Amino acid sequence: MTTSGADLPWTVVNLAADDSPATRSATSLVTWLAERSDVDLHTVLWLPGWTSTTPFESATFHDVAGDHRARLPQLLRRMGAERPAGILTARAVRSTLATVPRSGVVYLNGAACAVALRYLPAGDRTVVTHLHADDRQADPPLPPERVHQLVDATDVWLAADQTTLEWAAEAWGIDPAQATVVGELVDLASWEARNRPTDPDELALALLGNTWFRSDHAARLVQALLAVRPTLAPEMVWAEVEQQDHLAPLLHDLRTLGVLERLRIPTSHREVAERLAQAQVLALTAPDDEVVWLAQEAVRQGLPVVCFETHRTAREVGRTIEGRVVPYLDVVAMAEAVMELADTARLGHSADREAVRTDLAARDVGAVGPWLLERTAEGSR
Amino acid sequence: MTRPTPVLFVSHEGSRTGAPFALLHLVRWLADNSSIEPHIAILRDGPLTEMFAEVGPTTVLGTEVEWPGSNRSERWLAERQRRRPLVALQVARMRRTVAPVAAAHTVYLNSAASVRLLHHLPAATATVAHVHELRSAATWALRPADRPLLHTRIDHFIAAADCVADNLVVQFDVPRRRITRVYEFIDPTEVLAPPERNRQAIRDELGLPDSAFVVGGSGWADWRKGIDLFTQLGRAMVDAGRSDVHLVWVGGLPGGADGEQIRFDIERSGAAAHIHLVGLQSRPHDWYRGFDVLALTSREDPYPLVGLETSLLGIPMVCFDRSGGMVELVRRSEEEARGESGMIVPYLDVEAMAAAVLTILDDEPRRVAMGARAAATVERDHRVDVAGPEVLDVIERVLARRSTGGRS
Repeated sequence: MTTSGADLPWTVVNLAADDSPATRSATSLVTWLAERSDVDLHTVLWLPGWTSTTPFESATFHDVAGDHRARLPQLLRRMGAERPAGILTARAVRSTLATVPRSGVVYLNGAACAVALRYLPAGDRTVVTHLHADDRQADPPLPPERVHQLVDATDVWLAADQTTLEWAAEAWGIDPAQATVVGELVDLASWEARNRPTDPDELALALLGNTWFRSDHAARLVQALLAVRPTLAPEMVWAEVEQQDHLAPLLHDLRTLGVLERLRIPTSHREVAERLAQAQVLALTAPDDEVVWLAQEAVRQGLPVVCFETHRTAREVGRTIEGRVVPYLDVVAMAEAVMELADTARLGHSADREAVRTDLAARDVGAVGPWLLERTAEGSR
Repeated sequence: MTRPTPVLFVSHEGSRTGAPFALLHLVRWLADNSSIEPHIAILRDGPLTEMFAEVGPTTVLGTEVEWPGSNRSERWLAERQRRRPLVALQVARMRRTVAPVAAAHTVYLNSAASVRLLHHLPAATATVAHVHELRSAATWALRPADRPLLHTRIDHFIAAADCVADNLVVQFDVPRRRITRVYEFIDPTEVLAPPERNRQAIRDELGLPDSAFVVGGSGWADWRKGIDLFTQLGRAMVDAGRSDVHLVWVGGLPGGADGEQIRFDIERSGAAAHIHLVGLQSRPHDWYRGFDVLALTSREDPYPLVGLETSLLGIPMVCFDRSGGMVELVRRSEEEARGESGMIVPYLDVEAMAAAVLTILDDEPRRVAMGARAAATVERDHRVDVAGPEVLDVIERVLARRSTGGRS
């Protein structure tokens, strides 16, 4: 009988539910594995996060994060009784992890997840460690004893990029030949689904800026879009959940333009991610501003972006991300660029789009996943 | 001889802005033409205070932007949205300050931002509220704790435009029968007084050639007045190749980050040499006389005095649809004069506003005819001696009802 990785139980350990590139990579893998009926999938979240845990709950979910929130150990810590608190927490964590399979594959999403090795029930597992940029930037770095434990336990090394791999080889002495750069995993199928043919008058537009006073041109962009294409029925989303108390000017303008009901203001990071996944274009409407993680990742995964030449993102457009840069204050040019990119998305091709697609295909979980199943099956033989 | 009726007129500030100026015109007219004896309370001191003091006893109640300000414990309550104890503390703290006006039997609140004074006055006062604000400004002016006062303490409302009346109904559920619309008004003698500087002198001051067209804008340079859109209008003029067009903004400029943002936009607009921010002017009408057209870039403006004053000077305007009362003025003037007196373009459509402005600038006979129609409308309908009797009638009706024990 041939063994494949799909015949083995899988336990995916992630540090926390957040919107970091590493977690989104793990989410892609979990979603892909969860869709396979032949995989007995378990997930572990180690620390409390701030986004939804739903993707991890699509499998047998071991919420260690909840153990860290238990009242009694917290109370003991406040009283300075660190040791009894630690004993109680460790006991709770072991209890939570007691039903994790003792065989199969343990996938540690980042070196920080090595802590799980200490608490998992004893067994014979293939350990996969996926290193991310966060690992080499960790402050403080992983303690030496934890590094030794991780290096000893890991059977398959994956790295998000070559730099991280070279760093791990030098810092931890792992053999680069035994490691593979797979990038941060993405779901190419859902990316392509976003580009399904749609009605030319439909536009799923993500907006991100800073709406207070003049430092944002979101409303003017919407007005210009309606002027450029009067039959347009835009569905808009504000691409963050922070700073929503600053949205009053934008809401006033959209109300007066008669399109307020077409703006969705998300109430959770998960909703932002879902809306961004449906968007055709992201418009950065401030002259310059930080771009929040979720939007950054959406752009990295191919969501085309339009911004002003004054925006810090402008220097990346056309190089590492697909999009258009327009002169500052030229809102009509921005509207035309949005429509051009939306039309291109509808048609499903363009030169830079193909470049983005090639990049995504290299780290598509649909391609990396089967390879990983096979690789871990070899490791277990 | 009729016995004088003391009425406390409340201005939310003494600044040289629309609502306080309108009140100044009104109290002067009432003092000269009625038995009303104006007493004035100003929540925030400003340059108009002295002029009010020439009309009647004037009490300045504060200098804070957000009257009555707040101390540490009040801020603590505000952060926790404990509105009732917050107001109770403020009333106690301000008792001595408000004492000189607390005995008023009849109160005329000029603007929604003055409504908060009612917390500090006896409940038995007869009250008229003259509302100048539309949705955004009213939201900022009326704190949640003030909103019930609209229904419990105000006998009647005067709305500065039909759109203001509509907003009172929609936003605050004020019954329409309790609202009288009295269009905003000006004192024509002030506007039409001989200028100290003529059109040429203003062009000389800005270093503009005689042939330059001047597109005017005015007001406190903020989001509501659309200073960002005014800058974009300048950019559109340059894009259209019109180096003969200059844009002049008369009005106060914010400092700090807001001011920096305005300068940032202008510097990067490509039209910096064509946009002139001349600041607050003691004789704004002299500057208005230098305008060829008024570009009213306001997003929300109930019935701006600059629109009335420039119209009276024969200067046509372009404004955004759904932005406030000037849309009513242009449409009404056109209906009555059977000809165009300004142009209305779609909301926020700066490119359409630029096209409309250029159309007006490039057709002098049309421009002059439009200006003449607008001037006739303002001259007929928007003088203080037209609006004054309407306001007086509202006050007298409220007092009559009160004397028979009723409310509006």
